Amino acid sequence: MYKNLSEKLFNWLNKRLPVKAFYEDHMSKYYAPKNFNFWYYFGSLAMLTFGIQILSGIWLAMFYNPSSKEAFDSVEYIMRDVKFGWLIRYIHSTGASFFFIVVYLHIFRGFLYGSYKKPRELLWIIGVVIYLCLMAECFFGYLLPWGNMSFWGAQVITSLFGAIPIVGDPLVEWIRGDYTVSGATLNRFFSLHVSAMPLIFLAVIVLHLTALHEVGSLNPDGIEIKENKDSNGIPVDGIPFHPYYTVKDLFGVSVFLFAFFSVVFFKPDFFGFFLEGPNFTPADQLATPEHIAPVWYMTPYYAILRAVPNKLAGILAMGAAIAILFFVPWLDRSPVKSMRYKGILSKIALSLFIISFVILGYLGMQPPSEGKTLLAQICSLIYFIFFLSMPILSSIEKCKNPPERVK
Amino acid sequence: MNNVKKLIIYFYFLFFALSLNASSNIKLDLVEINLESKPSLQRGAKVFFDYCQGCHSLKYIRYSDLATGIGLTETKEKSLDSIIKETLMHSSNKISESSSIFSSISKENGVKWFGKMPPDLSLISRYRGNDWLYTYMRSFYKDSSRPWGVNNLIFPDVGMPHILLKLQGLQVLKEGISHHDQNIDKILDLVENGELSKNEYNTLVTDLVTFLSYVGEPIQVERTKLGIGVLIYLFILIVALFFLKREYWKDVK
Repeated sequence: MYKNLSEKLFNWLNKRLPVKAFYEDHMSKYYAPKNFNFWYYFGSLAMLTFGIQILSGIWLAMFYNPSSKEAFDSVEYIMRDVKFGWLIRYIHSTGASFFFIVVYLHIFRGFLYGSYKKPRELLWIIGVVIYLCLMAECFFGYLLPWGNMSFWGAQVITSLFGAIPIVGDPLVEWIRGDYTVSGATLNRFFSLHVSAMPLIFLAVIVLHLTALHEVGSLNPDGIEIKENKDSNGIPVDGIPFHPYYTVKDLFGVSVFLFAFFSVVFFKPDFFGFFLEGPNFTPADQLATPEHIAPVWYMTPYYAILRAVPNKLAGILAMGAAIAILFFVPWLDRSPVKSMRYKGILSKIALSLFIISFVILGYLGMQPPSEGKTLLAQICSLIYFIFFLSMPILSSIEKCKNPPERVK
Repeated sequence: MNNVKKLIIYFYFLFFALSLNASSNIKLDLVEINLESKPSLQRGAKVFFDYCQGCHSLKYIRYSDLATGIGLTETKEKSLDSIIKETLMHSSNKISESSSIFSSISKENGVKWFGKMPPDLSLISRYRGNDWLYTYMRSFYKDSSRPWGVNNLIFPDVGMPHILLKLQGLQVLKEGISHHDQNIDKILDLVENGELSKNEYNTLVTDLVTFLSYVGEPIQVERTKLGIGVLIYLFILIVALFFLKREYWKDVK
């Protein structure tokens, strides 16, 4: 009788809301290539980190006080007096760094297997927008603890806009809501961090998934599984997302959580990379930290900014370093998608790119010196050459023939 | 391919040459603390309240929480309040539920005497790290150009006098020694003995650092204990999900 009732209820619901169609389209009858490897875990893990950040953020906002007089104290209140407040706060701060780790690995996957190539150009572009959202969200959030590094970091980054000719200074004032970073800035960054940005974030994630499920996932071989369908119209090299990939991703989630909670419980400041020492002193306009550096995930771009001697040119270089990601689908002219079948030149270029990106990340944390600036310049050059040489390399190198079917 | 290898090796060396260049600072001495040792915490607390609290506050911790945290417990004869008063406090102020630990120095005098208000030390262990604190308290040396007659190797021109001078004794800079990447032992010489031997003094500073580390994050011990349970649970989950996945994927060819 219960079965009958629940069936009736489900039918009633389904006639009014396309539950069944939605479930089939995106889960049980959404076909994904059967040969996903390690690199394909990070999409679902990015979603998980987003969820972790939203949930832990909701709880933090219940106890946090976004005023310049109270913010720092309220964070310590969360750390000391709120029951399990320390856990929620560490989850949120660790989550921010893990979000970037996961997203960087996810982007690397894109480069490795050509996930941006036709017909996935828009999917890639939406992905880059998500990356931008993530940077903005973390930038706003980093001010909230109102530590001295929060303050000076925001001071330096907002001052960058001042280098723009004519509108620069008024623009900086407009962003800060004051002549310097102040309580007014803190209030608006709080608002953007907890309402505006998460809304945009969510919307763009939905777009990313919608676009993904329209074109379907690529795979390490770079083969379109939709080109090989059986008599029922099902891709022969595809398997239903549910249960195969839900159960596989769950396994990935458990491994991820193990790494995540190892940091949360045993090394929450992660040697000063995730929570920086100077941020344990309250914001002080009169005491500049010895050395101001952004958190690790932003440092590659900060290094590019500093590598250019002229401030405005530096800002343009930094902007270009991010903007160039939008053009990748049209820069890569290779007849094949996956790095497995591309020539040696592409492989070398990608390796050098990754190495220089990591070096830039390191340099961005260090105080500048002559030698370091030179190294940053070389690495910035490699960064841009990687993108700009794509059309040339990919059209002259000899590629292997990818197989017809997934092995 | 050879060229690529050369390039990578070149980068490798450039990278390390540069990172070596950066650390022209003094090497911090590493300290091993045991946050679960209540006697160490209590000795550290005593040092703090005897020598530091005159100028430095601990505003993010309350007397009552601190007392429980370092293992002071109520007995039949004495209430927690009176134990706190006897062992920690030097004032006769009343302790209420919300009494934070403030210093007795006024802001005006702080600025007048030291150039700036001595900082609150609740979070100093998180700001500087335990090794820094351990090294700092042991690297004061004689410098008659400074107002208090002492300077500090890792905090040059520090505004604070060497409050533990009586215990440690007076150190001077050895001449003709490069400070580059060097331990303070190699740079400083003890010329006047204090009340404590070198080992006794190091133990005292270790206790103080243990105490400050506790104050910086009182939850530390509990955090790692809870963490072990969480990781054991997750490990079992990983194994279970691994086999679940393998079971489902049996029919994928």
